[in-house]
This record gives sequence, structure tokens and C-alpha cells, in this order.
Amino acid sequence: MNSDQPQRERLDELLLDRAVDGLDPAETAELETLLARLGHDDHEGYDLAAASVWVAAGAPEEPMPADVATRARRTLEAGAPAPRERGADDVHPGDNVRPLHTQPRPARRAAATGWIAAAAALVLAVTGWWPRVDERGAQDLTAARDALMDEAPDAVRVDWSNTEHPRAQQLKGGYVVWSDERQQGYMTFEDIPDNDPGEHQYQLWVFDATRSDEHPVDGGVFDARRNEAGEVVIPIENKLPVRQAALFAVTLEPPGGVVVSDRDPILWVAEPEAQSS
Amino acid sequence: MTAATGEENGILLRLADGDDRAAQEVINAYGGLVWSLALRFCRSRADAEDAVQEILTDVWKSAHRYRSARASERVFISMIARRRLIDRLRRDKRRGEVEPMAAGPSSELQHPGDSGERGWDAQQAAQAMQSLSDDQRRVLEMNVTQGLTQREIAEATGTPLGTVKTHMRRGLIRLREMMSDDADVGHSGGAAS
Repeated sequence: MNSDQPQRERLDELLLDRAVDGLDPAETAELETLLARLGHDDHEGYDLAAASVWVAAGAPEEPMPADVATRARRTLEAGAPAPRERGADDVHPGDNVRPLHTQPRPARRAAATGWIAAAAALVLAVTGWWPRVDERGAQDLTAARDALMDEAPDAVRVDWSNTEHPRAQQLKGGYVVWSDERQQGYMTFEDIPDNDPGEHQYQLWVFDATRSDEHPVDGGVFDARRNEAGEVVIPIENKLPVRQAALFAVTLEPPGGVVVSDRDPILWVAEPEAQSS
Repeated sequence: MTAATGEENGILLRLADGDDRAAQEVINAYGGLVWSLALRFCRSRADAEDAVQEILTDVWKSAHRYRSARASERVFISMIARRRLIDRLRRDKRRGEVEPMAAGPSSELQHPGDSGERGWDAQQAAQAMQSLSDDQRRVLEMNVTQGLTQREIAEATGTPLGTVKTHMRRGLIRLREMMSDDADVGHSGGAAS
């Protein structure tokens, strides 16, 4: 028997469960780890077969109502959910709804304006002094993060830098692991300050060098739920594809996060290019 | 617009490429599919609307991964919708907001040949279902039409969970093989072609 056989059997089981029942976050992380480690020629095969059964069982389709279709079209054009309460063509400034290719695509690092400049101005020069994060705990996510770093050729690891905000200063260390190719990444924090989810939550923003700095990609809302080692590993849930990650920034936002941040406060940033140069 | 029209035009690939017309064409070709699935799996129209937006966001993010050799656009979009809707159900169940999935796309599978305007996909999948063993077809139907999880199927039928998973796995593998066979013979616009 191949030494990988037990892991391959587990991978197959997770792929089957994903297709039939869905997976919880821990199982998803385990699946990502195994896929990164073992690979799979047709990892969506079960999903596609299950979907074909759905199609076979399809009842007569109801046409999408006009208002839903309008909102759906805006979602597809923007690549992000369009708000329900607004009118069909009522695009408000700052609502993060924009045509995909109608905005100019600034060259990478062409202008350190807006967010990046603001964040850079706040960041202390702290690279290098943070202790290494204890790699125990949050085992699945930790393993998935490490597998991504090991297996993705383009994966980068970038340390967090903190701003002068008092909350930011409490962080002992951490980093981002990210792969543009796999559209996957993880944030690691050591002793991140607790937050009250009913009052505010952390939110990640990812700046894409191929997009305007004014419109960073929402990387997901999260809470500081530390494990026994005091470490938090958070999977990045980018709501749009990030073609070329240029900067990661964490803000503190109202519960549930925001569509467009007022950028106050920015707590931690990680800039791949700055640390590779 | 039929699915076949969407296939011929490669809507998803054009959506991934940023074609300005593709968004409207996706709605025209597959809006009814996504809306109908969302309605059947959500508690309210408002929930269904939100689910549609999430599904289409996923479609937008995944469009670049679409390969016509692996599945039709209709099956690919159904896969994305299925994942999102199952995730929503699991989330709502954790919050205690809903009963377990009440029903799938319909109460019974189609018979081969009555797929109407949905084209190759439904007809071929229905035919493929007929080629499965009784056990394989039964567990798939219980999952699809009744929304039962594998564990719930095991409890409902008094069958060991491992056996249910074996039937499910073999059934899906068989369906996948038939999809691949269809791709090999090159049906234009067909399932998995």
C-alpha cells in the first residue's frame, strides 16, 4: 500500500462529503491541506456529478423577477453583491459597485496614494523583531497555511507591521501567507487584542495592484478567538479575485464589517514588495 | 434563451474576460435556474434574493476556472449554486433558524427525454441516473430530492453510514464517468462535453 493511501482515502471522503453534505470550516481547511499536499486531477468531479443530478431533477424554471435580475446583473458587473434596497441604476458613490473594466488599471506601485500612503505613514518600522509564532494549535488551519506556503510556488509570507493605534501596539507578531495563483491565504496573529463582536470586528482589505487603490478587496470579517498558544489563524476570504496582492490591511469596523471602510483605524498592514526588497 | 445558446457563446469565459455583455447574458441564460434553485432552498423571497447575489458573486469569481471539457455551463453553475445553498443551510442550521433541508429541486427525477428546453444536460443526466444500481440511485435521490444528508439517509434506511457513502461514491463516480464519456465523443453543447 502506498504510504499516502490513508490520506488519499481521507481526501476522497472529504471530496465526497463536500459534494453531498457540505463541509464545516475545519473540514474545509483539512481538505485544502490534503489537496495542497496530494493534488487531485478532478477534485470537483463529485461536485459536478452531484450537480448533474440536480440538473436532471430540475423542476420547471421560474423566470427571475425583473428587480432581482437587475440586482443580479449589477452583482455580476461588479463582482460583488449589489445592495437590495437600491434602484436598478441607482449607483451611489462609494458603494463598491462598479463595472469591471471601465476603470483605469494603474500600473503596479504607480501611485502610493490613498490607503497605501495612509497606512504606510502610520506604520512603525518593526519588521524583524517579532517572535516566531508558536505553530501549535488551530491545527487544521495551521496545517493548511503551512501547506500553502510549502506547495504554492508563488506563495509569499509577509510580516504584519503595526500602526501607532493603541490596539495595534498590543499585537506581538504575525504574518500573512498568500498565493495569487491559488487565490488563497491565511493571516496569523499572536496575541491579537480581543474584540467584542457585538461592538466591532476586524476586517481585512487586500489591495490588488491591478485595481485602483481606492477600492481594496474585502478580505473578510473576523474576531480574535485565540487558541491555547495565543495564536489566531484566519483564512482570507477575498470577495473578489486578487490578481496581484500589493498590501494587506486590517481595520476595526462595526459588527458585520463594511462595504467601504473609512479607514479609521488601520491597525496592521503587510506589504509584500516592501519586505522582499 | 436555452442553455445550449449559452454554451455556444461561451458566456462564462467571456464573463471572466470582462465582456460587458456577458453579465446580462448570464442572467438571460441561467437566471431562471439560479432563481428557482434559490427559491426552493431558502426560507423567504428575501433570503432567496440574497442567495442569488452570493451565488452570482461565486460565479463571477469562478468563471475563469470553467472548462467546457469538464462540464456544461449549466452543470458548472448548478455546482456553484449547490455549494452556496448547502453552506447557507448549514449556517442557518447552526443558528437554529431552519429545519433541515426540506426539498431539492423537485420531488422526483425526470424521465429521460422530457427535459424540454434545458437541453442535453438534464436529459443526459436523467439517462445516466437510470444506469445506476437501485441502491446508488436511491441514496442519490434521497439526497437530491429530499435533501437528506448521508447520515440522515443511513438513519432513515437503517443502513450503515459507510454503506451509504459507498453507494453515494460509486453512483457519483459512475455519473462522472458517463459525463467524461460524453466529453470524449464530443457532443456539442452537451453535459460535460
